[in-house]
Amino acid sequence: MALGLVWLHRSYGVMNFAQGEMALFITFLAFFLLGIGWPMTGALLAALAAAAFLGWAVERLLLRPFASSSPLSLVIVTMGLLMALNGLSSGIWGTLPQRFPPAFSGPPVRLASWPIQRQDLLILGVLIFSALVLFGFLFFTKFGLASRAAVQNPWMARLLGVSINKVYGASWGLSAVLAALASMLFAPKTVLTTSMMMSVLVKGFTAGVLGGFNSLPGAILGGMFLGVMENLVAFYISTQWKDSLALALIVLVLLVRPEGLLGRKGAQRV
Amino acid sequence: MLEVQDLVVWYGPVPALHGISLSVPEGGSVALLGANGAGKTTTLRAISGLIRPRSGTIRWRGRNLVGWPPEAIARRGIGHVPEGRALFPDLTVWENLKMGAYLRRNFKSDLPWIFEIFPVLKERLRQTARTLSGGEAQMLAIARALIGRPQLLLLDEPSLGLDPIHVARVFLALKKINEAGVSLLLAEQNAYKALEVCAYGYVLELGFVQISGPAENLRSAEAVRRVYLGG
Repeated sequence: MALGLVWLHRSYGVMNFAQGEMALFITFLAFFLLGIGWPMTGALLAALAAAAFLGWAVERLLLRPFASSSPLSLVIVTMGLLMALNGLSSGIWGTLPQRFPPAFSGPPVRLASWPIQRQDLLILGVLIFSALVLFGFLFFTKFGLASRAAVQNPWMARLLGVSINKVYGASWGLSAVLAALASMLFAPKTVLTTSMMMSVLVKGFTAGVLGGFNSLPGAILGGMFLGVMENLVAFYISTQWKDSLALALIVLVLLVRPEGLLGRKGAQRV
Repeated sequence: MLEVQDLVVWYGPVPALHGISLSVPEGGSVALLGANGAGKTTTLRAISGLIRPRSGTIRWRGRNLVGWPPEAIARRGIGHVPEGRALFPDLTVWENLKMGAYLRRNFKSDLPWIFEIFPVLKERLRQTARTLSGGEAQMLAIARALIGRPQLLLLDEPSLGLDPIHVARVFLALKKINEAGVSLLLAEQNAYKALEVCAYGYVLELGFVQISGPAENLRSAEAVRRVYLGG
């Protein structure tokens, strides 16, 4: 989740507040496909394809018309999208909580006497895999290089022949896929409701702020740190404080180290 | 090869160019001279598609480029070295060069030539661009444009902020590049240096072409001195 947010922030320079709702919408879509009898793999893959399309379409149809206006208006567009998608999901699938089946079930695996849920292993595997794929794409392909260059100076990249619209479209598609992937993997661990993404978005945002919004390794580190802190708080203080922690951390990090743990200094639009 | 005619550009309500015309012949080298705010940068930015002129035409090999996006103009063989270099600061020198070759499949055969003109870049390939000195950064900016094999190179104030030794090096490099068949359109405040490299010159003042002519005429022209010294 944080990875998707940071990626988009890096490549597009705008914070996408609708990220969570986009992922949720896709998760509901997968849920719907499963409901009508699709196999798990088929439903997940179809949903990921839909996520790529949704991300691309959002950039193409909603943001590009505003490309020349201020970053603030772009952020407002994503907030509007958040509300619209939330309403749409609620309208189609209702506001009642649903149970999303895990991709892997079965008894927990024992690893050195620690019981681990199969779904958790899958999550870990997918996280590592998608991080590797993202880094590989960014650092070993020509298009990845062009994306990195375009973040630093979009008009210079254009002067060298980069079609900036392709880069933006791909960034949005990719980040929607990452977010949908995270959402579908974590959905079985909780219940699927139209309001669940609020807390996930806050957490993804915290992880991003914590790690520094322009650093991808920072996003992963921030996410892990937040997870550890949450469980420590839940164990030693109270589970009720667990969710407030993310918000408290945002405030703390912004006060003490606004550029995040690994981020580089520099005024950037949020 | 490049024919600009009656180019008019406004920034919002403010006119920047009042209908200028100029041309760059095949393999030619043309200087665009004038003080700050005369319209040099605006002219170059209009040619490469970064700003849309209000009226006028920019003909390149017979086609009117007005309204084309910058990436399409780059694809047609016009390279632009912008004012202030505009390197990608967090990319390495090597990655900056690779970006310059974005439109090409195989650029490695051009590297020996580029490193012959700018030997210092060869030693800096793995450094990020932000660690380069001003002179090195300017050379990288030119090399990055050059590796895309442009037929026409637009250069915006390449001597800006450089010490005299690096200014001399940059202009020597431009001379070699032009001799290799790349046309140049060079915007410069440093008129005397620019006219050493270029065969023809236009002097802009407040968005108008004041004088134009072969370099040797301009070098001695009273008018050039007047534009620069305000006397």
